[in-house]
Order: sequence, then C-alpha cells, then structure tokens
Amino acid sequence: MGYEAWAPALYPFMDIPALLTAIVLAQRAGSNAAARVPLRRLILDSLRGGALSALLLGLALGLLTRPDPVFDSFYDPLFRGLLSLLMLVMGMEAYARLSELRGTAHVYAVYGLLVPLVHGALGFGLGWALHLMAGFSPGGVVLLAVMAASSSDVSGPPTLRLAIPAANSAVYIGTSTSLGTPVALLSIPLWISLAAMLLTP
Amino acid sequence: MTAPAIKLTIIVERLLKPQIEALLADAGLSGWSIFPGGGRGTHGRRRAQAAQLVREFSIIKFEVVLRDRAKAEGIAERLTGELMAEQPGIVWLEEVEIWRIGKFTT
Repeated sequence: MGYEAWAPALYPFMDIPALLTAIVLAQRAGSNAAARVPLRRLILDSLRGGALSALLLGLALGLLTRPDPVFDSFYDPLFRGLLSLLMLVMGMEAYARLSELRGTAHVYAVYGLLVPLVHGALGFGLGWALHLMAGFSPGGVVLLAVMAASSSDVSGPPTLRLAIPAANSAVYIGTSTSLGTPVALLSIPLWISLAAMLLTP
Repeated sequence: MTAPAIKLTIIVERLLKPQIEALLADAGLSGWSIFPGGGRGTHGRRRAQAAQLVREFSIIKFEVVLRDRAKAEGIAERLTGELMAEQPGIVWLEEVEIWRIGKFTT
C-alpha cells in the first residue's frame, strides 16, 4: 500500500500540539495542577529533546544531503535494525511499568485500552476526508490513523513531568507505555483493512 | 594533611540536571561530580542499569565539596525551595575531611 513519503514527517507537528493541549487543560483545571512554566520554554525544551531534535535534524539532513545513493544500503537496514531494538526496549519498559498501574484507578487502564482506537478512528476519518478532497493515498490515511492512535512515550513524559509536576507519572507513563502503545501497534492491521475496504477501488 | 569541609549531596531525576547545574554555577561553584544511581521511592523503582526508553527519569547523584557551610546551606535551601518544591529529590550535608584543600576555594 503506497503512501506519501512526507507522511511520517507529520509526527512532530502532532506531538507538540498534543503536549501543549495537555498542559493548557491542566492549567485550566486549577492553579496547583500545573507549574507556571512559559509555553514558549516548553516548546523549546520539547524541540531540544532527543527524540524531536533527532527527527527534525534527520528531516533537514534528508533534504540537504540527498542520501538517495546510500539509502538502500545503509539507512534502510540501519532503521529496521534500530527499530527492532527500540521495540525490544519498549516491551521491557512496558512490562516494568505494568506493575505501577496496579496502584492506580482502573479507569486509567480502560482509558489506555480504548482511547488509542478512538483517536485512531478520528485520524482515519480525517485521512478519509483528505483522500476524498485532495487525493491523499490510502497508505497515508493508514499512517495518519496509526499516528493518531499512538502516544508520545519518549518526548512526552519528561515534558509533562516538568509542566505538570502534580500529575502522577505512574498513571500517564504506565497507561501510555504499557497499554496505549501496544494497542496502537496492534491496531495497525485494523486501519490497513479499513483502508483496503473503503479506500481502494 | 586533611582539612574540614562540607559535602553537599543531591539526589534527583536526570530531568532536573540542567536546572541544578545552572543553580550551582549561579552560586559560584566551579565543579561538581555526577554519578548514576538507582533505587526505590514513592515515585516507583529506579533501575540503575537497564535499557530505558526515557533517560530523564533515571536517578543521578550530585556531590559538591565546599569549605563554607553557610554557603552549602544556602544552596540546599535554594534547591529545596526552587527546584524540589514540586519535583522529587533529596539533599543532605555531610562533614568531611579532604586532602588538597587548596583546590576548594568556595
């Protein structure tokens, strides 16, 4: 299933608004819920974080250095190998964090299991609209749904810890890493099947 | 030949490392040591040596040696009042005997 080459680059533009939304909601919830950290500083700290800065620098390198001659022989195998290691570490972290969820309310576990599907459906719906209006590819719609279903496990938790120190980190890290991310990964075949059924002639 | 001094120890999450270093530099200190660590607390278990997705939540320990106890206490007050008011962390002072007292000007 083909997709636009730029579709994965949408991720950083989804990540930062999501974090800002969480912080603004926490600040509106009460004066003690969130630290009074300027939003500009939070955005800059987020962009300077390892995950987002690597992604943006990678985009810049791809645009400026034209790595096409070495893409198949170097970058593609390296990406697949490192991705498998990342999945391994995420699995180990997810298992370790599962025990932290036991001490929290069950509603967070239900949220972690259901909301990736809800967000993924919203992303799929938006992608479907773009498919009809602008010819967005079915593969691009699937990627948008998967990204919408996903949660920020690397850049999000440190930003939220600084911005909302009163929040119980065991809840949002445990829910995201142990439940949300596995559900988002397991939902990939769902979005692919939906795209094949609804978007391809 | 040893001389008395004060060792300031700070245990925090790596998340606060830039802010603590800025505070120590602002207090006029020119050097400190940082060690990785692990343990268990109200915020859960910290694994000293394990592959982790987010390094910022791992534990680090700062150790700073000062000659001036009042200055050490002032730094500790600033740490607990400014940085640790809402973030986890532990600070303590110890009396130590050090060699090469000339290396410690503060």
